[in-house]
Amino acid sequence: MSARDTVLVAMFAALTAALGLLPPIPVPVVPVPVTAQTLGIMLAGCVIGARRAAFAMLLLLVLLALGLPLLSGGRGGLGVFVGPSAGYLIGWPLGAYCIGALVSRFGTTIGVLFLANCLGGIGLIYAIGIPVMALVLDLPLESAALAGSAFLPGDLIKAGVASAVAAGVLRAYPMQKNASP
Amino acid sequence: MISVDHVTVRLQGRVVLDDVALSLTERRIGVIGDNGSGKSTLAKLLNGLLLPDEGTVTVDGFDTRSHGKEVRSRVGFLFQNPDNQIVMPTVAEDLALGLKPLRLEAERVRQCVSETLERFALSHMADRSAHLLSGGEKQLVALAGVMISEPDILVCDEPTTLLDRRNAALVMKTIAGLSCMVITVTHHVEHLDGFDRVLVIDEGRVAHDGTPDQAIPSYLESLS
Amino acid sequence: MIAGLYLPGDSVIHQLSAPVKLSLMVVMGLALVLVDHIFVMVSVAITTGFVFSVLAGLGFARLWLATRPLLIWVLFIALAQFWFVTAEAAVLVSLRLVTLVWVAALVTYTTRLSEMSDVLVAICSVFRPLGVNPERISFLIALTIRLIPSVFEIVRDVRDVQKARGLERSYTAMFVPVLTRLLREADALSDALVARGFERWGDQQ
Repeated sequence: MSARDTVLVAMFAALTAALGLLPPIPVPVVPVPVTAQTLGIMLAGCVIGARRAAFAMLLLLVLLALGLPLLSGGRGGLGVFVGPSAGYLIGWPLGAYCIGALVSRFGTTIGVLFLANCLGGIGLIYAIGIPVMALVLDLPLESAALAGSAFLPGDLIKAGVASAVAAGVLRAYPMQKNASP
Repeated sequence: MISVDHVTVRLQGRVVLDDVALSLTERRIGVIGDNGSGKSTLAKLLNGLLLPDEGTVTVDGFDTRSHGKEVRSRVGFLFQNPDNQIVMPTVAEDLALGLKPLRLEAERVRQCVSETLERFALSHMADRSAHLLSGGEKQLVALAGVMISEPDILVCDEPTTLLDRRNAALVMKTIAGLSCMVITVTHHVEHLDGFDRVLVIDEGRVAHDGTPDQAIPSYLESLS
Repeated sequence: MIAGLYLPGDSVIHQLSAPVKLSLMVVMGLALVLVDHIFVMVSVAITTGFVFSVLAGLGFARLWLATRPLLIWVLFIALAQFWFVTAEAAVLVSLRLVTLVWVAALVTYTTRLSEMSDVLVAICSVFRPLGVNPERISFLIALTIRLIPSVFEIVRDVRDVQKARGLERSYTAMFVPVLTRLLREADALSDALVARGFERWGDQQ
């Protein structure tokens, strides 16, 4: 990894952690608090590319496992890896990778970004998170899916925000550019 | 010794440096000029952080393009904003980072860090969080972090621009006391007292090149 | 600075080494899956609670704090049992979940961050032949810990500016400047790393 890769990986791990420090955003009609944290996964995937984004999320999981309280609400430590939402966490690096791969393949128009965020940032993460939840709680898959769907409206909003932000950022700051004068 | 051989740099289609040729050997060299004149670009060329589009830059015979590692082990670089330069959480840890390429034993690293802290009068803040220090203290920590690996040449890119007068003077005084060759890019002409040579950069070209007594008045004149 | 969850102490649990605690945690996790008798499960849970709060000296308030995020799930299991499973199974699953989280939290609360890092570096060293450089990984960890407060500050700064412009409800208006600033700082920081010899760290002697 080059110095730039290293710094970007650390920067987006830090961003995702810092977003967890923001107070949850109250959204009407949605029964669960919407935290800004998953925004970090989507932004990483859209902006710094598949490989770096996946490393950034992996790094964040390592920091959590080491005992840092970096999840929203000050949660962290090994406990979060044995709880019902462990699967979602494991989905983070994979989701970020998937978003990055889709974006580099299909371009950075806002529509593509939104679809990539929905597929990688929601679809893939749920596809891992919900079965793990069902396993930990010893429930049928359908009822776990029902519980997981409570987060869907909030996550869709975040996919929209992340796509708009990423589109703006990529226009203002093309990633291939040389250092500034 | 650094030689800049007919170097042109373009950034985003704009010519930032235009066919600049220099041979830098003096112990104290100042570089002055307006914002956007290309003086920071010149500084970044000297240790290969930026590569020329045309021409070559060599340090002791090493081309910055092909021998970046050798160049950067000889040329230390002090940035304008110490926040971007200080990497590790505490002062002592950050200083130790500069020794990493040398692969010394832990004991030798500790010794070297404490000697350097002492040399820069920073011993009392060894274990403090580097990010809670004042601007002047941070710049001194950044400087110590560069000098700990004993480069032959130090390039400073506007090291005092973000500091108040008192701290700017302190940092410049510390830099003046260094035994190595120093090239300083600055806005503050009063910091160039005792320099051997001053370059005035204007619109990507060397507009003036001489002793401070010659170059500075002509720069100030061009401002009025 | 971001502080870890470690709580200083000199209990028996604190004095166990990190690898021992982590191994015990894994064994315990596997064993818990096999427990399917409710009385065994209840006694294991009570014992774990006792070890956590009394033996490790973390207290009942801390135990409650570790349990609270799970209550919603326990409630969910309780509700689900009306349709899918028996009451006994629901209690069994809930207790297994709570106990497992207690065990994991116990390891985190009683082990220093540096000890955990040492374990990580040791694990990574095994993968050195595959190109994993443990030194780079510990540097990444230190760099991230140092960046979190700076990133949070940038987020707060930008939010204040946007508030002043009446844009605090627009997340796009808030995050675009945050991201561009982060990317600019990333450039400056990687320049600084290169200037400070980053490329030469990996050189073998």
